[in-house]
Amino acid sequence: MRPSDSPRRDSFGVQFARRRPVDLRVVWALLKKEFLDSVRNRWIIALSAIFIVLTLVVSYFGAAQAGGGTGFQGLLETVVGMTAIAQILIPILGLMISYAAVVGEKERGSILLLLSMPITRLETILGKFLGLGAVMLAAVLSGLGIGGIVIMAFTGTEGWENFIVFLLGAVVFALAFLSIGLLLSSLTKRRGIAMGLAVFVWFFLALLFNLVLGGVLVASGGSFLPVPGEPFTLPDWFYAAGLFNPVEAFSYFAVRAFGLGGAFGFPIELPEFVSIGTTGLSMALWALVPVTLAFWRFRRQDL
Amino acid sequence: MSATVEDASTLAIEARGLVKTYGDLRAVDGLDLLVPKGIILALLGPNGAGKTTTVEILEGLRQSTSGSAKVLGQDITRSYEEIRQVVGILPQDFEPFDRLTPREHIRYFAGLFGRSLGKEEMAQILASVSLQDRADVHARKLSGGEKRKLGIALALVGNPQLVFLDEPTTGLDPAARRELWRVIEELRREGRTVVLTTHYIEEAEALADEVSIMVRGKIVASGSPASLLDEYTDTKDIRLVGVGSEGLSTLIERGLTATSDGEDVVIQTAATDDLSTVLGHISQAGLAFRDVITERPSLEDVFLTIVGARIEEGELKP
Ligand SMILES: Nc1ncnc2c1ncn2[C@@H]1O[C@H](COP(=O)(O)OP(=O)(O)OP(=O)(O)O)[C@@H](O)[C@H]1O
Ligand SMILES: [Mg+2]
Repeated sequence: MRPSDSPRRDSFGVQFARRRPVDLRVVWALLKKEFLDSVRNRWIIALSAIFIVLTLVVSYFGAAQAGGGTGFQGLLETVVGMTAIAQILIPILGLMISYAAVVGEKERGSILLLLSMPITRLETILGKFLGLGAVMLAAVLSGLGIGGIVIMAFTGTEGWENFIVFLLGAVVFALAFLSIGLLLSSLTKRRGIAMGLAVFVWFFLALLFNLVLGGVLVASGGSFLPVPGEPFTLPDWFYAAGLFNPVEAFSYFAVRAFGLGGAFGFPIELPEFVSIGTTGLSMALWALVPVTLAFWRFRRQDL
Repeated sequence: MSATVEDASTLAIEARGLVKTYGDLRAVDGLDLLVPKGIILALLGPNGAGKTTTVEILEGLRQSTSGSAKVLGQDITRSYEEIRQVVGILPQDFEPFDRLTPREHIRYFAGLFGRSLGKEEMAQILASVSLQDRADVHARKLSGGEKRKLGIALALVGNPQLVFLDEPTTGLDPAARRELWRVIEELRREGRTVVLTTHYIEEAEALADEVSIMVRGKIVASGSPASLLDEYTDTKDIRLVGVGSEGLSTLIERGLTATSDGEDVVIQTAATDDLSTVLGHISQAGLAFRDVITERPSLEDVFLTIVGARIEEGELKP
């Protein structure tokens, strides 16, 4: 499409130039629908169930075998396993729930019906984000939350504040992938393409990114192997790059939420700039920027 | 069409010179359309004629390249929100959400109007499209016709005065189609204006008060089915069933234009001819036949005349 002659006009739904305040009843209706639709989606149910079961298994066996490590140390040791699972599964869940949210409606023609209703595009994206966000919240809190309760049943409640911080981080992490999925969904014209992109994004952020970074590290003369007798560190740029990836940011966040890096079983010290603040900010930006772009794109597109 | 009805307050749609281009393609090419309130208008045309583009422009959902249109007295480029309140649409290819029931769909879309429906209102909407027995079935399990009915119900949740139905019956079996026709006629009885697009001539003939035939982005003919027939057909055939070939020569001797068709003879007359003269000739000829059938060209013949032999899908696409 060529840009419209008048830059103030959307090529579709021209008249949206006239704004009105967000109507919460409308957002609520959209939210409920997205929630209902998702919790009836067997794939999403299945993946959430896998997530919950895995975190339970890891937390149960982890805590039971924590080398008699009770108290804070026991909690830390088991949280490592949960984080690893969350790092892989939360992105999949977030992308899976959202990749079709816009493009799917284009394909089924329901987007026109939706836009023929007296609602704004901001309300539409907001309703979808919040409705799907509620599903993510439920999955993450039940997976990690129940896991945490199981662990604490073994190790005691010491460190529960740290665990709450960790949970909050996980929720933001989940919203980040929801947000990315919504962007992909509003950028594409076909569901299959959105799905392909989602798989690629997951593959890149959850797997490839680390490999590439490791490759660069080795190529630049660095090493993952600790030198005996010296405290193990990686160059700052390695961590700085990681901050740009929500998956890495989440694992750093988890480390920071429980104190020191060493607690995670590796003698690794994170540099000071990798803090709760910076990792949290990274994830928060990932949660907000893509969905904002999705709205911007959705608002001015010819469907 | 209805050139006599010019008063704005009686017009549901008033479009002038609408153009929509996609690159070099003129999907809508200078279209004028006047639709009086309270009627069913059928926009009839082959694939790619520009029907969907036209209705989407009139719905305010697509921007025209040029031209102007008023819908229920409101300028479509300026009164987006007002139009949203009074127009209902069934998009072409609409598929409901697999995992929601019709009742949930209706509740959802009513919610987008900021309304929560009471029990009675819900029942009434379901009944208006006769989906009351299927109200709590996941949409995935509905038949094609039921899905389309649900789509119409959703177009109605805002109680619109003007309803656009883009190919409401495409792909349905004849029984389901007829049932939808009843639903659509009910909309007119309720005083709503209905604009529907269709490929089916018999649908236009059965439902529409006015038909506009669209080809290549232009309306090439419009009027009531009867007036289109009058305007575009100038012959009327009289078929004498079982009269045999000797009947043919007798009739030709009497100055009638006739051809034989198997055992039958078909006499061609001008649409304006006084039939009694022709019938007089026939009775005086003293022929034996089993039946007399007068045959007028159907709207389909009119459509074919207008659109030519180019109605095959694809052929009209530039
Ligand atoms: N978004 C678009 N971009 C480019 N071309 C388009 C677009 N939408 C429609 N067209 C073209 O405009 C023309 C008219 O399309 P339209 O969908 O309005 O036809 P239609 O009469 O509804 O056809 P059908 O009976 O197949 O539904 C077609 O040639 C189509 O390919
Ligand atoms: Mg069409």
